[in-house]
Amino acid sequence: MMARLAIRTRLILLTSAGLIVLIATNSYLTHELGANSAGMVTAAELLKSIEEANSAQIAFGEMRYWMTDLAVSQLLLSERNAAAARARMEQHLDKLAPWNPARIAAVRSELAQYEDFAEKAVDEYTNDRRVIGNSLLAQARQHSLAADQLLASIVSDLTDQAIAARQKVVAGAAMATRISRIVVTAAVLIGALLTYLVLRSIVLPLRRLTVAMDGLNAGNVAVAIPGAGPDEIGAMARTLAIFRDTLKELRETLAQFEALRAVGRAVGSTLDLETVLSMVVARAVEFSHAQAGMIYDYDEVTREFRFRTSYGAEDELIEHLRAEPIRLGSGPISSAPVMGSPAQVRDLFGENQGAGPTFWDSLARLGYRSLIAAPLLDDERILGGLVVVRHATGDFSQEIVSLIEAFATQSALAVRNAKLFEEQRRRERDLRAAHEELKAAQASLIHAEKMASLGQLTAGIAHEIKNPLNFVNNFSELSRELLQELEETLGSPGDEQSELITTLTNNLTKIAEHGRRADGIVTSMLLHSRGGSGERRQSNLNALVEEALNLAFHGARAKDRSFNITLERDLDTSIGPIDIVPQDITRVFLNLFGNGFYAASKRQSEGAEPTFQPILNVKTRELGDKVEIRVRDNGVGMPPEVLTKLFQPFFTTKPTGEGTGLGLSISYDIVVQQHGGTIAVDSRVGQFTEFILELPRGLRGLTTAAAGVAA
Amino acid sequence: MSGIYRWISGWAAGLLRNQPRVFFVLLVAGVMPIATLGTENSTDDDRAIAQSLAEMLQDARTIISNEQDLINDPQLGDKHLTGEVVLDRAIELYSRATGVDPRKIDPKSREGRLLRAMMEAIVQVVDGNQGTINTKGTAFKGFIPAVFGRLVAEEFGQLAKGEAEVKVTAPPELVRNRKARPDKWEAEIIAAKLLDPAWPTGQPYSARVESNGRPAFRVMVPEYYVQSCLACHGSPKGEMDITGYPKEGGKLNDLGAAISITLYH
Repeated sequence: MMARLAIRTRLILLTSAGLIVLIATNSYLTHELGANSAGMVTAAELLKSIEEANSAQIAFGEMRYWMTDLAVSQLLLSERNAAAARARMEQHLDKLAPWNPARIAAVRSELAQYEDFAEKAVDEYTNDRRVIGNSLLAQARQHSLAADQLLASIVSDLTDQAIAARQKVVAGAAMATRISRIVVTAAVLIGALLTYLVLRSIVLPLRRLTVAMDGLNAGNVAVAIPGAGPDEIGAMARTLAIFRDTLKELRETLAQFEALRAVGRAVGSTLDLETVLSMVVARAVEFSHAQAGMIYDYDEVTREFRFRTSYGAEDELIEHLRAEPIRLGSGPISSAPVMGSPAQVRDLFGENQGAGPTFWDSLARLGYRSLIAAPLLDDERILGGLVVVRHATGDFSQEIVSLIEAFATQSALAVRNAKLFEEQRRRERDLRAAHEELKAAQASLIHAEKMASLGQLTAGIAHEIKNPLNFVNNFSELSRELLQELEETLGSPGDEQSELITTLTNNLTKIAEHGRRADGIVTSMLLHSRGGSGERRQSNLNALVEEALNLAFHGARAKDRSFNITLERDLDTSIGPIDIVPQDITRVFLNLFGNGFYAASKRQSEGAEPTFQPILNVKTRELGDKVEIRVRDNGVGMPPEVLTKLFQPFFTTKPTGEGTGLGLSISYDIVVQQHGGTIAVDSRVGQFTEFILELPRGLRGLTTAAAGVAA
Repeated sequence: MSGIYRWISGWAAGLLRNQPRVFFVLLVAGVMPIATLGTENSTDDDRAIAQSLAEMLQDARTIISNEQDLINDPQLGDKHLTGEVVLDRAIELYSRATGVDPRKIDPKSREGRLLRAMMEAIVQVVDGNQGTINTKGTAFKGFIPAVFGRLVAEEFGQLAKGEAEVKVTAPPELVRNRKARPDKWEAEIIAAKLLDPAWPTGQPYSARVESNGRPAFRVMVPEYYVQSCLACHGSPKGEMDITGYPKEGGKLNDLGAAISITLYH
């Protein structure tokens, strides 16, 4: 009942009740006190009268004493004292007179007579007439006794009246006290009860409110708010409930904001699309209070949505989702991208769904009843879809719709970022490859320039050496012929002469031999510097390979009869005619094949395993606008430091006299500078060496510098 | 007239011989105008008789005053302070004061007759109170000069047989015994004359007036407080004196009493 009243009303009622009781009690007590006070006044007046009567009696006694004393002592002091006592007695009698004038008048009468006789008696004593004085004093004594008796009776009556008045006052006070105690006890009990009820009606809800407020302060938005009654505490409870709801919404909004921020941060910082999408779908499910969510990719080719990732979805559902893409425009889910805004299915059982039956069956079987789908859009381009499903039916709130839309936007952003990133990476790779090619081309140019310079130098040196060398060769040959003629001329020379001729002949033979060797070197140098003299023409590369193999093999066998090697050919017959200088390319092949023979033979000769078989493998392959030739031997191989110097002129690993160091250098010039191709080498020590040549079908790859050198 | 002069000269001689015993009344005599005394023979005689009676009374009272220690000695029974002793000492004082032996005054003269009555009264009062005076074990016996004076005056009235009366009275507020109350004439003289600041100190007042229906010559002899008086009548006022009576607060030389002498004709 208290809770239905406002606290102010309760307090007013409580105070009013207390005041009413207080006023009633006070009025009663005031009345009783008034009556009592009147009784007390009466009693006091009576007591005062008694006192006055007693005082009058005392004064009368004093007066008689002093009169008697006066009669004896004749002292005027006694007379004055008697007069003073007489005056006091008169005063007391004056005060007593209103009580009973008649009786006081009687006293006065007796007093006057006493005084008269006494004064006469004193005078007689003063005049030394003692007998008369005694007689008069005896008469005075009679009146004295009468006055005494009157005063005593007055005192007695006044005492009786005072006692009666006092008893009345006491009885009234006792009654008032009893009634007052009863009323006070009742008031205290009722007041305590009312106070308890009022306090209880205030304190208990306040305590519950305090607990609720403490809970809210501690961040517990799930705390129970006490029921809102019609009073002020009810108003506080309603306000607190609103505050709690607002706080809850704020926290949820904040959480959503934080989630969106986290997703946004992830989108901005994480290029792992799976991570971002997993986070998005998890947050979307969490903040939409749903049970599961999925993200779909959109295949622009098939115009289908394909399952990508999920959160909270059962394996069975995932399996169905993977197996059953959703076609664009077939139902509410896939219609969302068309509309460009989220679409809802408020009851999976109550709406005509356009998705595949398996999808819906799976959702229904797993207890899902409603869903919301939002498209992942990049402008108007569809990137995918975000779907959130839940067990409850009904519309998703506008906040959740907005949130899902925001998550979808973030997802789209992530997908777009991922695609942009992928594109960026691809471009980066291309750039890096181009950069590498550029660096290689730059190195090739530097190398070509160096080679060109060397070639010019070599040509100059060779030209200058050629003539003296011709003199050496010619005159050594001529001298040897002259010695032969000298021997023939001498006929039968002596031993000493014959020995000298023989020695000289041998010397000249060696001079001629080394001269020829030197001439070969010079010739090669001139040939190198000249850069080839043949003309380009459409040639059959496979035929050139076969020809060069045969020449090289037989050349090697010519030098060393024990030489043997397995020749493996893998020639691409699809290679058509190619525009090259056949003589120069043949030289390249001869160089490569000769080096391969040498390396394989060396490995065999250097104690390879018994089962080792020297093999030279040659492959050709059609590459469209170019042709690839691979020459691989299973020889000793080359360490990296050798590889870096491989194409430098005059660099050789062969013993002196067995190589000029110009073979690969010339080959490099022919392939790279003359034909615009490439030459690469791969080798492992003790295992193999493989040269990979690429020859363009035309002159497109020929650089200006190379062309210039070639010219 | 010659008697008066004899009395006055004897009084003055006594005054000069016995200064310690001077009573304030005696001071007045020296300054009493001679002219006043000699204006009329009868008046002068009356005044001389009155003065003589007053002197005798005062002398006897002086003796009683001087013997207070003896009277109030509780250890001593018979003090041998009889009427005769007191009278002899009083006569001695009287003679010293006046130069006249009162016993030699003609007993047939009015003065001699009345003075003898006074001396007889002194003797009777002292003798009548021998029991009191000789009481052993009681210190203060109340037989003080004032009581003595009053008793002598009363006794004198009896012995004078209506020819003269002596009363020791005082201003009304100082009277202790109702017998000493001043009558109307006395009260008027005290108030108008004796208490008048202009009244010469110690000067008696006399007049021929009617008293109790009889022609009489009345004299009022002022008495002033001396130091011994103030033990009972001095300060502080209201404090009880030895007799149990409140002190009047009197000061030295204040008018303390008056001896009223009435000589009937």
